[in-house]
Amino acid sequence: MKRIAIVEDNPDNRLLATAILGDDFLIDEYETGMQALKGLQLNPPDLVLLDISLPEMDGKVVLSRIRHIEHIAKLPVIALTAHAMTGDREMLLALGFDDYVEKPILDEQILIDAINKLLVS
Amino acid sequence: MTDLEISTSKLIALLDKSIVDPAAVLRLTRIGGEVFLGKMIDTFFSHVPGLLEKARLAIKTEDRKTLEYAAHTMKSSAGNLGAVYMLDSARILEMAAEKSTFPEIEIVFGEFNEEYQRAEKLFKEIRKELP
Repeated sequence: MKRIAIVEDNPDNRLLATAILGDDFLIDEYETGMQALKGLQLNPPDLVLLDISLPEMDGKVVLSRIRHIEHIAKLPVIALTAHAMTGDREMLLALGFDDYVEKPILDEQILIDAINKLLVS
Repeated sequence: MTDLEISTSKLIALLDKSIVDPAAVLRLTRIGGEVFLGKMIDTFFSHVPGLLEKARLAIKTEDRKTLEYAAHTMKSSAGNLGAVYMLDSARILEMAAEKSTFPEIEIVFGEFNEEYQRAEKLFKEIRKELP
């Protein structure tokens, strides 16, 4: 079974994502960017779902750190954000995210498809 | 009819469209049943009231960053439970935190708080019906 790390400070977002994905994937949950950076190095997952609006260290900074740590640098990372402004997708892809999923996750299939696409490739 | 179906019909009757999007609430029962919907409501109440107080204090201390973070997180939580009017109010509060004056922000916060209170009352009623 593939392993997915969810980096998300909001507990109901974590609960929802785990309910959607928990039957098909092993889930690691991290509340902060710092916890995630430690955990991802100790126990690298197959893919990361990374919230953008994390306190202290936001998702863009976390991604930048991931891309500079050799053994996790190439992990597929999907941005999760409730910002949903025009141009966000392009901006996040330009920063090095592999995909982007908007919150709230109104259609769980969009999330599942984004994950499967990256895991297959 | 099973106990679950009886509970679901009560749930549908409770879903006030002036507060929530019924489809969003029922989607949660489709994902994980009524037990899961109950967990989502419990989780909402485990942290959103604290964020509301954090936002109130941030306005008093004119702390835009904390206010924006609290509004952003409450927006997300409202969206997960289909509280569409609370979500819209949180979105406006989040934008106001960035650029409005604090007297303006107080007005926006008052409007948000009204939507929160309506959602809170409804979610408590729904929770009573769930396992």
